Parts: sequence; C-alpha cells; structure tokens
Amino acid sequence: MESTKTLLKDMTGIDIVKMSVPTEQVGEVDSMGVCTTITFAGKCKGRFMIDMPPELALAMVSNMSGEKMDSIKYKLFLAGIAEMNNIIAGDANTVLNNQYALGLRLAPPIVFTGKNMIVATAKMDAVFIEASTELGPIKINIAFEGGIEV
Amino acid sequence: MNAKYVNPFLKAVEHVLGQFGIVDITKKSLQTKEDMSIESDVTAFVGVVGDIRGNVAYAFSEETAKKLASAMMMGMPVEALNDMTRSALAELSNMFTGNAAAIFESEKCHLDITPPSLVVGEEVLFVLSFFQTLTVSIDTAIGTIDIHIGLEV
Amino acid sequence: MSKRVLIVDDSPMIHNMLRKTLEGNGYEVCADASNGREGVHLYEKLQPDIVFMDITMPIMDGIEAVKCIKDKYKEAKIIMLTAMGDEEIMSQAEEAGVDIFLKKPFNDFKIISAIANIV
Repeated sequence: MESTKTLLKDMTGIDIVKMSVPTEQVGEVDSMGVCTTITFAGKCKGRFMIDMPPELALAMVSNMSGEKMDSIKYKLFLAGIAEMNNIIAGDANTVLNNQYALGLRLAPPIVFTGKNMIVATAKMDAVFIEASTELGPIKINIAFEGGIEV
Repeated sequence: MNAKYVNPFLKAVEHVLGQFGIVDITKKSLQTKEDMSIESDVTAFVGVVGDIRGNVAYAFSEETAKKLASAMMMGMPVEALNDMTRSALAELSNMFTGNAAAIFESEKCHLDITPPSLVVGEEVLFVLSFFQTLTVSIDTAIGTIDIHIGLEV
Repeated sequence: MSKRVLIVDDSPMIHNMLRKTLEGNGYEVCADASNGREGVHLYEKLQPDIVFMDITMPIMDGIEAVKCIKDKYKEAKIIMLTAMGDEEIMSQAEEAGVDIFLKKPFNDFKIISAIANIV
C-alpha cells in the first residue's frame, strides 16, 4: 500500500491526502467511472483494481504524460490508465514474489469507463482502501481467491 | 494473432453451453481489430498467463445475459440481473476459459487462468487489450455471444 | 552528435514520456517499437547507441529481444525499464546481457544517470 502512495505521487504528482484503513469489501463494487484491473495467477490467484472518478483520472494521466487530456474515450488516456496500473501492480507483485515466493504472473491491464457500472466477481473476497486526493477519491481493491487476512 | 487460437475458445464455449442445454450454436463472424474496445451491456472477462499472456472477454446483451443465467440455474426464470446472477455469469466465463485452457494444455500449451470479473453499466467502453484482438460472434438460441480474444502472440 | 536512442515498450504512454525526458536532455529518439521483434528489427536497421527495453510485451518479450540483439551485437547498450522486478526476472535479464535494470516509474534523473553510467 505504501508503494501505491509513493508511486502515485511520483508518477502523477497528485498527493494522497488521507487514506482509509483496509476494509473488507463484501459483494460487488460500484465503479466511480474509470476502472482498471489487472488479474494475476501463480501459487494463488487474484485481482488488483483501481477505481476513480473521470476528473481525477484525467488529471492523473495529464500530469503523467504532460499532455492535457479531456476525454475519457481518448486512446492515449486509456493507455495511460492501463500503464499506471501496470506499474503499481507490477511493483506490488515484485514485493509479493520476492517475500512469499508466490510466482505470480500478471495478465495485461484492462480499462473500462462508463456510468453506473457494477463490477462483480465469482467467489472472491476483497479488501479495499479508499484514499482522498484534492481531485476526488481513489479506491484500490485487492481480491484473492479464497480470501485474504485484513 | 493466428486464428488457430480461436478454436479452443469456440469449442469450450460450445461444450459449456451444451451442458446447460443450449445447443444449435452457429459461428456468425470472425473479425480482427487493431485494439479492442467493446461496447455492450454485459461483459465478463478472464485473464490468462503462462505460455501465452492475455485477456478473453465474453460480451452479450442484457436479454441474453438473463437467459444464460436462467439456463445455468436449471431454467429458473430470471427477471433482472442481480448480484447472484452476475456472479453466476462471471463463473460462466471462468468455465469457458478453463475449458479452453484444458484444450490448449492437450496441445502442449500451458495456461493458468486468473479470476473472472463481470462488468455491467451504461455507456460502457471496455478496453481489453491495446494489442490486436480477434472477435468471434456466435449465434445461439438465446442470442448472440461475442468472444473477444486478446492474446499477446 | 547527440546519442541515438531506441525505445521498445508496448505502451504508447511510455513512448511519449520517455521521448519527452530524452529529447529534453539532448538525446535523439530514433524510433519507437511496440514489441520485442519490432525492437530487434529496428536495432539492426538503425544501430542506435542506447536501447530502452520493456519486458512484458506481445509477440516477443524484452528478455528474448535482448538475447537476440546481444547475440549479434555484443557492444549494444541496453537498459531494461520495466514494472516487474522480482529476483527471477532480474536474473533472467542479467543472463540475457542487460546492462542496467531500472524499475518503473521513472523520472528524468533516473533515466539520465542510467545513460551516463553506460556510455
């Protein structure tokens, strides 16, 4: 988690003002508008998901690329969100593989945007952390098959 | 991406649907896209890692989703999608991909599949891959299912 | 003459960001490739001074691409720039002949000092 915070600041220049404690996520996730997931498999399986409102997502990718973005349908914006997730999940994964030898391999990032989106899974328990920035909330949701200890 | 990667997915979908009593499946079209975006009511996706890396998505209309869920639950009528039916459909995409992985395995190609997720919403734009993908549409008695295959090969 | 750099990464976002950093510091980006095979091909054609190489890419991954380049061109200078960095991957990269291993995200300083170290 600490890695997420530092990485976000490094990449996008956006400060995380407040961060919640890890909280159990029961059932489905209602998306705020822009969502990216990276799933993984190895000795265990799971999903790493970042969800945020369009304004924050646009600001992050604009800062990251140095190019002003104003549409969430713009390809470079979608690619930027995917790459941001790739870097964060890749980093978390490196730690997990080195410390617990889980041999996790990441599937490519997926990005989706829309209104009133619901993201469901089958039989996975998750925890989420909600962080606030000056431009809106960002939710990080981590799910493992078979659940995780909070 | 070579079209040979399509067949295991087609066979798997056909096999799994058959187990739920959905037969008469016909292949409608096969198309290649440079990068894949999907606009549909309901999209379920699963990742694959191992000898091949990528994502596979199964997309259908809400109507078809309800009928699929109903077929999975022994014909119990499904009026609207709720958390239980959404979870069942995510599981269905898991079965499709798991079956396809078994076929790949028999061809000496090892794949691990990642947990399934399902997305519903309005004006959804879904990017499965920034790389070339193949889309196969199949017609069934309960509507069209699009199989989007985004493998990095 | 400014040093010529080849960028091999499947993310167009990384192409843009790296290009900005490099050009802002007096390097010339001679081409972007979006997978390993294209990277190897462009290396042979353009003979750049430095290569930035991602690992997880379609068609041919970065480790494979480094092996192909180093097999033929021992003097090639390759900087691996990737999000994945567990020990297994790092040792594979080392075996393939990578000169420097950098983890994403990156900033100007990280990139420029890595280049300074190998040229």
